[in-house]
Amino acid sequence: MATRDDDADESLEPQGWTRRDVAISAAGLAVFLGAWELAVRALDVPAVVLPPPSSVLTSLVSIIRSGAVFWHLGVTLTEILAGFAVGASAAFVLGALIAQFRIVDRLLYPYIVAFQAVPKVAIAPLLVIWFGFGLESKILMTAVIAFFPILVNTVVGLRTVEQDRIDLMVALKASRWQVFRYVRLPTALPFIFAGLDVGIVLSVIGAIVGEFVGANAGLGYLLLVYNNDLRIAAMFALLIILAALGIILHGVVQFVQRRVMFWSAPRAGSGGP
Amino acid sequence: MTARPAVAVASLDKAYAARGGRIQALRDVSFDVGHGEFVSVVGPSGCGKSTILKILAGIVRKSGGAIAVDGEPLAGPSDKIGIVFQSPVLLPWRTVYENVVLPVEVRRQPLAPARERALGLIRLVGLEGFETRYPAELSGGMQQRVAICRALVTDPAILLMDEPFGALDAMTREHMNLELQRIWMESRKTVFLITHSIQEAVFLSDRVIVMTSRPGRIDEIVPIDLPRPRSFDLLTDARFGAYARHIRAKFGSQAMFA
Ligand SMILES: Nc1ncnc2c1ncn2[C@@H]1O[C@H](COP(=O)(O)OP(=O)(O)OP(=O)(O)O)[C@@H](O)[C@H]1O
Ligand SMILES: [Mg+2]
Repeated sequence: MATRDDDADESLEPQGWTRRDVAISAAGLAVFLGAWELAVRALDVPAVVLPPPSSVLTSLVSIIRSGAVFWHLGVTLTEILAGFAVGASAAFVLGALIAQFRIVDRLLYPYIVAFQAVPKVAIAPLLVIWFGFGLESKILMTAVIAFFPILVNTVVGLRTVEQDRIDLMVALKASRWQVFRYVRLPTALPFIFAGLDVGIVLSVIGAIVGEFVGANAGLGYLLLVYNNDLRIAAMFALLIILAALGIILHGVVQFVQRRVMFWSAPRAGSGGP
Repeated sequence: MTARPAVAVASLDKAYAARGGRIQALRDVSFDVGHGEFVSVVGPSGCGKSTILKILAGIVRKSGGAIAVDGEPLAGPSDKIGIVFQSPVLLPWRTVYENVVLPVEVRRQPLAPARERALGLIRLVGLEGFETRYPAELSGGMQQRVAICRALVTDPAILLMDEPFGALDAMTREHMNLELQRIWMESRKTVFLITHSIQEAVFLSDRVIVMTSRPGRIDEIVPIDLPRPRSFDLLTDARFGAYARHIRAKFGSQAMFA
């Protein structure tokens, strides 16, 4: 019971931030950027090694103004969302089967654990060979990377036993499916969403890695192009865009979680951030 | 009592498998509960009261002995039995109303006729206006009242209750005792109530089963011969005091009552 409110407070949203907290945070950022700018200028660091924040900002503005980045952003976002959808669905279905049926657990779990030990990045070149330079190989790369944390969390969540709730269902002669639907799945949701949260951030990595290995579009591809041209400030600008993308996607997952798990949201106030 | 009691328990044994051996929770427990009878169980903590209830509910398997409900051997959970657990066990993602009708849904009975009954029960326990609230918005006592509605919604002939009022304050508890007596007198259900309170047991019951611990056995079954309906004026009655003292004496120096 006591953990409910703690869970809600664990979100990364600036919930409960006072004006003063925001001011402190902004001041900290300003000091950091100022020091960076001064250091680069004072020590005469070549822009190819480390550009000052001012030129990163200029670069970011011109990249966005020119509009060219949006098409690449669209490609990467498509890969992320499609890959996440595929990976999450597969992880959920497989996780539910593993948690519910001992035989599936014994048959598959050892291989899944073994496969998890393989650095997924290492199979990216294989995926390109099998599925080509198009979207498919990136979607699969993303799906594979997002898959594991969601699978593991689904299995752990569904195996979390609230004995009292199970007893209640048993006393009502509930079928296995009813126990799953009425009790096990809702009880597992906090775990599943924790997995989805990690999975969506990993999906961004998956898509970029996929593009690094072989692509002709996307932000990862664009990073390589800028790198080749030694446009370091533009690379930093892309990193900012990627970070913003990750934060937004994480926020979307949190938003959906609050909607789906309405009962564990703090009820006082609007329930929004 | 009728020839075929509502619940007949004969030589019930229960041993839990535990780390480093077995825990003998119940040994040779025998008692009957007649149709429409109100029977309470009191005994020290850990003497196996909840274990008896869980065996009757079909949640826990017995190790030995025989149990019959309405003359038929008990095989797993029965539709004739409604249960209130020691904690409310509400599903936090369901509203008060949805929690109350859960047994109807799970048993795939028609919801329309159950709706009236559910709303009536919610009114009966004083939760009118809370139908669409979620358990997190309710106090512990209110949650337990929802659990009581849930146990009654399918109109079971037998009601098993495990310290249902343990979490309530004294005032609400007395009020709920009167309500339970009223529900029981109106519906003529068979009630099997576990409680920590000797006063509650004497006040409500036709008979009180007194247990001893390690392993749980029946010490004595005390018939309570007091007129119905009972009101709290009875608390100052000499006969009431005599019953309570008699049962309390059974526990000797084991002070376990809060
Ligand atoms: N699932 C279990 N596994 C092992 N031992 C158990 C289990 N459930 C209960 N026991 C043991 O059985 C004994 C009786 O437990 P039970 O819960 O029936 O007691 P109780 O009379 O209801 O106690 P209380 O008044 O505190 O609720 C205890 O010694 C307990 O440790
Ligand atoms: Mg108990």
